[in-house]
Amino acid sequence: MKEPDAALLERCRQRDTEAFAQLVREQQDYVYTLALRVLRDPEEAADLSQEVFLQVWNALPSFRGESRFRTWLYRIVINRGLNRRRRLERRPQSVSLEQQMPHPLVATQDDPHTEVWHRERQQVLWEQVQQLPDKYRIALTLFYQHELSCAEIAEVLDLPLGTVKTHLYRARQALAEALPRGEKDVL
Amino acid sequence: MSCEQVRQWMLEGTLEGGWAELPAGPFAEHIEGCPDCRAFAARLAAVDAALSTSPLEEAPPSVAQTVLARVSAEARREPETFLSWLVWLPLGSLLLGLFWAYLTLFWQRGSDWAITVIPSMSEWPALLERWLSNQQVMISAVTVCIAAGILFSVLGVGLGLYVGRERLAHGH
Repeated sequence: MKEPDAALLERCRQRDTEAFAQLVREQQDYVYTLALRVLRDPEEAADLSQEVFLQVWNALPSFRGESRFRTWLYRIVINRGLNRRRRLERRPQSVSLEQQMPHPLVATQDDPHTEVWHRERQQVLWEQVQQLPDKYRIALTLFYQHELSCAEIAEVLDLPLGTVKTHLYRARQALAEALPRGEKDVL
Repeated sequence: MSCEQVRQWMLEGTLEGGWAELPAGPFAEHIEGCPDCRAFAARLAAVDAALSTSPLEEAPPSVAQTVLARVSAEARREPETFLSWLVWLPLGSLLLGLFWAYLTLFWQRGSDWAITVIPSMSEWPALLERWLSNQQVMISAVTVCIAAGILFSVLGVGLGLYVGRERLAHGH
């Protein structure tokens, strides 16, 4: 994901609703995916995404660009998401794992057997990711799906770089060890 | 070289650079000769490949629809203000505080403290001299408390607004 255009952000700051609509269209899948990883509930994630964009609209005039926009945006998602989760944890809830899984890969040039195997493996892995503690799950999502570097993740999570690397190290190790034996040798 | 060292190297070394960056040498030789490490390397590479190609979740259409409806409604309601509330609120507090202090002093010291008309430039030196020479002028503790209260309330409002704005700007 690349940073939104500076001119677009400036227009949003000037309260241009059409520019903001474009910004929402560009960012909504990133925001929703992260919200879903934090909350693990599609409805709550959609509500959180709306809240986040409304906060962005209100706070953009005071956003001075000291950090990158997407770093700022993801920080809002995570802070608000974790607060919302704390409130939700006080009441009983039931969420099926199926609801939290990412969509299967779109059709590729691979042969059908490989594609099915790849999709199944993704599903197994995301099931494992969902079982990981928040700090690992969020770091993995930002790393793989939002394509942030370790330094950017550290900025979003307000953690030292070494801590982020340790989270990713342990999360990847746990996932690699949990993957069924007999995987294809991809090296 | 132990399996633990090799796995640590794999987990750290591939984090930023990816699998293409791994150099040949003792690590590669170890992996070649160790079935367990080779299997671990294959699984780790499989994790990287699968997670990095997972598509994003598609946000429901209601997200953008709701947000844009509310933003448009807000934009229609937003009045054109000469000064932002971040300016007029502390300024208003300050003016109110000064007015209150003036009334308090008037009440405490009598009408000689009240400035009923704005003095002209030529009258200011005489006023100042009279004030300095007035031996009875003693600032009471009450007056100091009132003035300090006003000062701190203004500073508090200003600081609160500043911190609120900073937190908003930093995503809290």
